[in-house]
Amino acid sequence: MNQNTSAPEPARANIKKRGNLSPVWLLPVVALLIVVWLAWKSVSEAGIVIDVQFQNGRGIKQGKTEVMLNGIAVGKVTDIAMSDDLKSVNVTLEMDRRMSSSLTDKSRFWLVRPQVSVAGISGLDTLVSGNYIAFQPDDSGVKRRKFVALPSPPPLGEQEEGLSLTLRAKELSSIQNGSPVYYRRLKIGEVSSYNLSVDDQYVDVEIFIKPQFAHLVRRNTRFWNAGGVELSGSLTNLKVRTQSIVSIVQGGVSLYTPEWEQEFPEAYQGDVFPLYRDYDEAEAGIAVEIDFPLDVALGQEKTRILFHGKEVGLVRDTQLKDDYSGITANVIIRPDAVNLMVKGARFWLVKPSIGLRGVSGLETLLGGRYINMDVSNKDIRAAIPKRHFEGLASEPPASPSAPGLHLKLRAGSLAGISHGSPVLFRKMQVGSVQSHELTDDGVLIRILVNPAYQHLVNDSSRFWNVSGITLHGGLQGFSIKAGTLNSMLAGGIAFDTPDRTSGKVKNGTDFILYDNSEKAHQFGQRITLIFATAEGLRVGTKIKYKGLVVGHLTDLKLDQQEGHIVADALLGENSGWVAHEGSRFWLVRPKLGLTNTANLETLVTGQYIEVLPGSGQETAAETRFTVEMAVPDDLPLSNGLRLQLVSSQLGSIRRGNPIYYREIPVGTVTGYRLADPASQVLIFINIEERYKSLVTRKSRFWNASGIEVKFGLFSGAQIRTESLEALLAGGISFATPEPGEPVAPGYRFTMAEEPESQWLRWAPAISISQ
Amino acid sequence: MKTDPAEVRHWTTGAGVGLKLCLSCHKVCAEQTTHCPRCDARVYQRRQNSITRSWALTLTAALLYIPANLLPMMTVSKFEEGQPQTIFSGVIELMNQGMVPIALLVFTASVVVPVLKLLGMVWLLICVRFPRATMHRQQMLYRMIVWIGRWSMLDIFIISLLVGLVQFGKLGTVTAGIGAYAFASVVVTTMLAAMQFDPRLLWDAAEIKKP
Repeated sequence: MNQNTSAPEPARANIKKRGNLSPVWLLPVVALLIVVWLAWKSVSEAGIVIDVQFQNGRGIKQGKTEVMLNGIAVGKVTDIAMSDDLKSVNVTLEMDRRMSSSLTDKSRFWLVRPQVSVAGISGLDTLVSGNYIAFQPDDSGVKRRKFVALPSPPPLGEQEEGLSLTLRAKELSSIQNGSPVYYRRLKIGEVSSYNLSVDDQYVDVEIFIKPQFAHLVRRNTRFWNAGGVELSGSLTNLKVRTQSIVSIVQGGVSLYTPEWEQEFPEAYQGDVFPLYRDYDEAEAGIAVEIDFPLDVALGQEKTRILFHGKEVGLVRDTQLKDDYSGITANVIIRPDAVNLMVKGARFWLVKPSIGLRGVSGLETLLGGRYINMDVSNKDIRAAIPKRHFEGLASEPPASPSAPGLHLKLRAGSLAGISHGSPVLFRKMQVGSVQSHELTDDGVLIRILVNPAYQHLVNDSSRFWNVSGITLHGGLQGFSIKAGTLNSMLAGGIAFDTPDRTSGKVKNGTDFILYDNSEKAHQFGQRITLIFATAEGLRVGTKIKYKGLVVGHLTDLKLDQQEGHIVADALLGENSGWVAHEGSRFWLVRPKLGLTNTANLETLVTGQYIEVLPGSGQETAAETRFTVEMAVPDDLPLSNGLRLQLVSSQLGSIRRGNPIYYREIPVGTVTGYRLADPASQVLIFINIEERYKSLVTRKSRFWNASGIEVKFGLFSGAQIRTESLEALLAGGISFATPEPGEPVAPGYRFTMAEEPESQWLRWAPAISISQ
Repeated sequence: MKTDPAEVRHWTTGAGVGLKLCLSCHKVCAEQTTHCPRCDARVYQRRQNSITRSWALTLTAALLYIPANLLPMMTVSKFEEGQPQTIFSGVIELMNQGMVPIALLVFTASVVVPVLKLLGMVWLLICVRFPRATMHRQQMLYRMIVWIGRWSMLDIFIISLLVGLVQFGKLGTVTAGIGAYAFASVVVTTMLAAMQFDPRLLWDAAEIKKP
């Protein structure tokens, strides 16, 4: 070393000088820095070695199995060894140094391995990457280095922050660990554990709600068991309720917060809620009792209660009353229908019935019976709460609250009308019969006119029964009256409204229900006619004036005391004036005789009643008249000159015989009767108006009937007759000697048996009044 | 190589006869010349700062060898996040998989050779500092170090190829680890150290020892 040769000496000196400055030494310095840095880093980041005791070491590989926290490896298995007692596996883990503060006695380890179950597949990533050890840090505990791994993943709630609640159920059902908790079928949490309650009476199910959904749980939130498939209802109303495929198999819990209730504060951690058996039960509502008669078969549980088709409650159970007088149904009414449970609410059972008016309640055949309820708006407003009701066996009339026009019809009899019979307007159904009940004087029928048609009813409306078929028959024709087929079978009520502008009616207005359309439209004046006999009479016999029908008989009955027939007649609307004081009625019937055949048409058309209006004032209209059984003899024709002839014999004079003037008929015989005293015969004649001037006080009348045959020896046979008609039918002739003042009506002449010869020569120039 | 100790003692160095060699064009120059008359490069009797540089580089290599072995060389991902492998864990892995020859090869190329190189360099440098008579063995060692140094790059080549070729996304990916850089640095620095080492210093050392 110190024996250096001379040659390298100066070079070495140079090297030394410059070697101190040699930049090449930077390299080892840098390398050293790197190494030092790496060393420091490795020391500073050196793992923390901990021991975790596992029950079994399946799937744990030394040097390979990692400790994962939120998907990030934070450690690694460095060693596996059996425990001393060979019952567990001690796994040595090298944990990330950053985890040092989290390795406390509250931290937990568990092995994650793939799990395939109906509820889903979890830990699928471990299929590829191998099992890993999950680590749940907790800074709050006491630091330690030895741990015992959990046998299974900890409940969800303890892994994350969130809301942990306890549900108290009567039975566990299909709920198991990990069963989902649904809100609107969205999984918002899961069942973390379950256990018997302290007193062993309940099952306490711990659930965990994810933090982002924690606000959904309020103090009034209801939980129900949504597991499996819930089948309820009946064939038409089959409810299959399930939350998800998972919940079918794995069970589940659903929750909802009633919206109608006021806002409740959010639930606190650890709150206890009841867990209802199913959705229906969860909707715990107002308990109501309804008493039904014994013969009402309420059917199965869960009979629904409908209010205008909307379900408002369920029958929870039924039981016999203590005195066996009925059945009490315990009903749970939905909270939102609580306002309907007031005084006045009615409940009745709807069951299927098949009748002439169709099949009703058919849905109950399949869907099971249900209880209908109704309550009027008035009662709702009155809001007198009630919790005990009397149920009805059958449907009551529509409540006054039902929309539409509620009317009362009074009738003598029900006449085929039944509940549900249609109410027809122009043969179109506009309503229906709601109920009928007996009253003191007949029947009270309640009908409901649909709201859309209630404007058709007003003060002037008239209702009549169109039940069945009305058959009117006679020689003049048949008339068959029927409503709709439905009304024929099931009865029905028709109405019409002649005057659309008439006043409106209110609910509950009384109307008369007429037996038929005719009666309903009898607007005119009612009179009473008295007949000696009802022969040939019937209801509907017409009353005519001058051949025009002015009314008809509406009823015939026997007056037992008087022994005559009392008939009710109705005069047409504008024909009331014919019935006045002095009006005369008589029966017109066919007359068949040798010379006097009259009213033959009545053979076919039936008899009728002729009326001759009196001259009385309208205000003094009479309503009771005696009907003459024949045309009155003294009946004047409507116009002309009424005269009376006095004769000793009637001869062949008949009513209707002509009065001749110069063999021209100018009038007729209107009647005859014995004079009083009966020594003479009074013949009533009527001279036509235009020939009135032909009759003066000096006029002479003679009987022109028959053939006058004078047979004399010298004069030979002399035959005189007025005319062939007069020969057959009889007649009266008259002659006037000179013009003169026309006689007053009622003037009485004497009728000669035969004319004097001079009478026949009279030919006065009487001008015929026009 | 002649290893006859009888003959070892009889040689003459260029320095001994006043000559020196231009390392740039290998012209033999006179001792007094500072610049090569042919190529005008600076001419020294011996390589300048050879020992210092060799030491520095060897030391660098030795230091870098630590992280090169402790840090992962590469990460092979198959479907999943792979485990970074250091050289030694790679060798063990190969052994575990039954590929003993390959494991031996890798072990040799990646562990034995660099270590031997480093040790050899240190040995040579020490020999220069403390002259010994076994000059021929040292010469042979030096040549071996130079020759074998290039093979140390085998690992780096493999890693480079794999990183370049195996990029199949999720199916499989190879990424180089920081250990690879350290290892490459080790190889490079050892080669540089070997290159900076002037073997003629061994002669000089032997010359000193000889008398």
